[in-house]
Order: sequence, then C-alpha cells, then structure tokens
Amino acid sequence: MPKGPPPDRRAPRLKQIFEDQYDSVYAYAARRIGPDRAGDVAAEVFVVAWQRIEQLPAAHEKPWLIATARNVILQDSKRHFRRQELETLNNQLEQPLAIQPDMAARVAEQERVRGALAQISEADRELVTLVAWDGLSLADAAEVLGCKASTARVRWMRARNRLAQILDVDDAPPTGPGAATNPMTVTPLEVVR
Amino acid sequence: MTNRNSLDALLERSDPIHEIQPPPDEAKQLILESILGNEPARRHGNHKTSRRIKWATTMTGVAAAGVLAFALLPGGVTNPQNAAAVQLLAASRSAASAKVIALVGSQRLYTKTVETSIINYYTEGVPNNPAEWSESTLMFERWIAPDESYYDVRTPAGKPTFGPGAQRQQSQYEKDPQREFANWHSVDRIDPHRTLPEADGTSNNTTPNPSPSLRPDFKDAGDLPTQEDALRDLLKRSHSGSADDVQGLWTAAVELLADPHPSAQVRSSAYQVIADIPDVQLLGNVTDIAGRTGQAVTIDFSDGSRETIIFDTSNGELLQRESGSQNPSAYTDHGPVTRTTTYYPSVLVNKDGLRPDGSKVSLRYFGLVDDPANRWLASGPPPAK
Repeated sequence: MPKGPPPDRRAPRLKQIFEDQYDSVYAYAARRIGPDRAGDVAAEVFVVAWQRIEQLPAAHEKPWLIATARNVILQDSKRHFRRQELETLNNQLEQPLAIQPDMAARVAEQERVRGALAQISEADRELVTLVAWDGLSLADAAEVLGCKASTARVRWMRARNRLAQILDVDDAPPTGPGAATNPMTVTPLEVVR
Repeated sequence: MTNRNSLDALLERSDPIHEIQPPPDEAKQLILESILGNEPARRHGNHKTSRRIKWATTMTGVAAAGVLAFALLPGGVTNPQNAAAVQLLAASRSAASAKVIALVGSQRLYTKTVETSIINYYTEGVPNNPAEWSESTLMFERWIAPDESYYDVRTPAGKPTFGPGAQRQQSQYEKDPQREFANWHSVDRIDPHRTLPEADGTSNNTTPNPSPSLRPDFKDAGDLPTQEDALRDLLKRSHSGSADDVQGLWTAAVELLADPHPSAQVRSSAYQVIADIPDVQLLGNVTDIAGRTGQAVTIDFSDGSRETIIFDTSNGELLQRESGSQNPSAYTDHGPVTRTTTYYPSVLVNKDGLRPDGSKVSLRYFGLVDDPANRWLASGPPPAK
C-alpha cells in the first residue's frame, strides 16, 4: 500500500484538479483526436492522476496531465486506431472545415493558418500548439514533450519565424494587457546583469 | 493591444476547440464519481496501469529535475546560454525583414561602411622598439566595389599601431600621418577557380584579404545559402583551416553579419547559426561605443580568447565586436590584448557618395565625397563617444 496523504485529503485534491483542469485536458485531446475519443482519453488521464495523486506537483498539475494525455493518445493510437484515425492532428489540419456562409472569412483564415501549421514539422507544430492553444508556458511545453526548455525555446522561435513567413504576418510577441499570457513573458527573457 | 493580424492572434482564432463543445457538467460529475469510486491501490497492480505509473514516475522525476535545475541557475530562472539563443533568434527574425541592399542596374555602386576600431594590443616588429604597447582608435571607411576590391581609409586617432609585417602601413603612416590606406581583393572561397578581376585603383598596395572569412561581393550575395544548415556548412568550409571549429564558425558568421552584402535572409540565418553554437552566453543589455543599445553575447574559445558581439534585436544589425585573450599567459604588462570594432550602418552610394537616385546620404558618417584628384576618399569625423 503506497504511503501518502490519507484518502480524505486525496479525494478533495483530485476533485479540485478535475474541476480546474478537466476542460484543458479534454480540449488537448479533442484538438488532436477529435471529440469522440477525447472524453475517454480525459477520463483515463484522471484515472492515472488518481493513482498517482501523491506525485502530482502541487499547483503545477497541468503539464503533468497534458503529458499523460499525450502518452495515452500515443499508446491508444498504437493499439486501437485505424490508419485513418492515426492521422490525428495532421489530418484535421489538412481537412477543410465545414463552411457556413456567415463564417466564410473566418474559415478561410483558419484554413490558411492550419495549412501553415501543416507545413512545419510535427514536433514543432506540437510545440507551437501546446503554447498557443493549450496555454502552456514554454517550460511546461518542454516538460510535456520531454525535451529541455532551451531546446523548446529555440524550436518554438524557429517555428514561429517559419509560420510568420508562411502567413506573411508579424510574429512579434504581443504587448499590452494580454502580454502576460505570452510565453515570452511567462519565461523571463530579461538579461543577466 | 495585440495586433489583430499578428501570429498569436491568428493562432488563437484558428484553435479548433472553438468548434468543440466539452461534455456538460453533469457528465463530468459522473466521470469524477466513477474515478473516485475506484480504489487507487487496486489499480496499482494492473499491468497496463503499472506501465503508465512507471512512465509517469519518470516524467515527474524529469520534470522535478528540470524545475530544480532552473531554480538553481543564477538569477533564479534564466539560463544565460538559453537567453543568448533567444536574443540571437530575435535578431534573426528582425534581420529577416530588414531592407535588402541591391545593386541598381549597371551603375557602379559602392557599399560604404564605417567601422571604428579601438585596438589595445601588444605589438612587435616596430624598428628599435620590439615590444610596444599601443592604444589607438581607428575609423575605417570601407568602400567595397562590385569587383571585389576593398578599400579602407583609416583615420587614426592617437598613436597608430603596426603589427608584425606591417612595414607597408608604417611607411604610409610616415608619408601621411593623418590617414592609412589599404586595398585588397576578396579571397574567393565560394568558387576557388574563379578568376578575380584586377584592382581598378591606382594603389600599389594590393594585398590579400587579411581576413580568412567570407567576403562576398554583390554577385556572391545572391548565391549565399539562405537556409541555416547550408549556410553553416559554407561557413565551416570557409574556416576549415581553423584550429578550433567553433571559433572558426563563430568568426565566419560574425564577419558575415559585419559585411554589408548578404541578403536579409542570409543575415537572419547567420544569427541562427550563432544561436546554435554551444556555450554562447548572454551578457545582457549594453551600450556600444556609439551609445547605441543592444544585446551582448559572448563566447570563450579553447585558445583562451573571448569574443563578444553586440547586436540590435529590433533590426538584426551588428553593432560592435570585441575580442581579446582571457588567458593570463597572453597578458602583457599592460593587461589583456583587446580589440573593439564598432559597426555603423551600410548604404549603397555612387562614386560621389550619393544614393543611386541622386539623393544625399543623410546618415551621420556619410555624405562625404571622394577626392577625384588623389583617388582616395575624404575621411569623416571620428564618431562621438
């Protein structure tokens, strides 16, 4: 029997983590394998979290949960998914969206962006989407991908550079009130004096 | 406010989650109750779960080690090497969008650059003074002609220096203490079989390019690879004779940045090459001799020398380069041997020092006209410190 906090403390903690992070884990899975399987993956992630509740880093659960979701998806893909279903994010990125007349402009933009994402490497794409869509800092994204933060930083900036070139847009990090959510500000870049 | 068309805004709007509805709260509650209803200890022996637990334990350990490593770094969280790469890549991004210098028609144009070097070095070879310590400031006006001829007009301030084998310069100095002239041809490292044109100047002082780095001309600039890996290979080849590969690569990349010919994409890739060099450290936000602010990164080489560059991350311009030995055995009684070179913006001008469209160059150190009578160009004022 593993040692750890008594059950009456573990259950409230899992409940809190579940309430705080379920949507993020579900969204991560849904972006990559679609909503049909996302619920199963999210549930499995929290089963693992419940098993390892003592090891979950306090106040830093999200990267751990996302990394677990990533592993679940990879494992399940190997075992169960048909070939077509294995084309997870790649497939989704290349498929045109269902166009509604009043959404034509937005859909066109989404297709353009997803087309650009499809042109960069899978590893870089995952890094960019972990930051841009899943809201992870670069350090947390590196944790999920199992690489060094420095490596992630270099890859992330290179990927952004490439995307900006493809899309012909400014890739400067945002400034102003929303800047705090940008990984460039989450991970301090201030110089060492 | 975030630019509506910035990359971040586009990525945010393209998030597929906007089209996906998460399960309702009631469904989530059932999932949670189902999980909590399973005793963790029972699942611990399950083979499938055990494998995941092992993996999860490893991941947690790696994550903890990473967090610990970050926490132990100087300054709390910032790794200078990583931070150096970030700043260099920021310069790379800016350089990629910089204005490209291009040859206009068939008009004979020059790229005029100004460099100011402060040289503190130990000299030998000066007659009757085999060991002399000098401090001097040189302002270089470097005119690079399309035929690969380089013309330097050097205006020394203070006591000029003459290194080993520099009798020619010493002779020039004795004739004209106000100015030194140098003229050389590019060493063709892109096509070693290409015949270089003869210098069209009247100088008799043509010498080989003293720098082993690439000296691309207008034509070469268009042939330089724009992809980082290909450029790195070329730069490595250009310094294949260097004792230290890292030092050779660094030198070649920095001197490429100091050269006005390469395109914006090549300059961008050159910064990426430097960013990938191991052990480059960020020194931080500094001011160069001309008072311009930039980021400084530095590297120590195996021979005990240290190089530092200052660059502007907003436009990818190389501002200053400092080099010197950190090896005490190489120190003189006067201290370490150092050299600081400050680079000013380059512009294309015609022989009269005007832009191709006839407009006057308005930059601080330009707008000078050459002297047709004696072929050489008038020197400008030394830069304000």
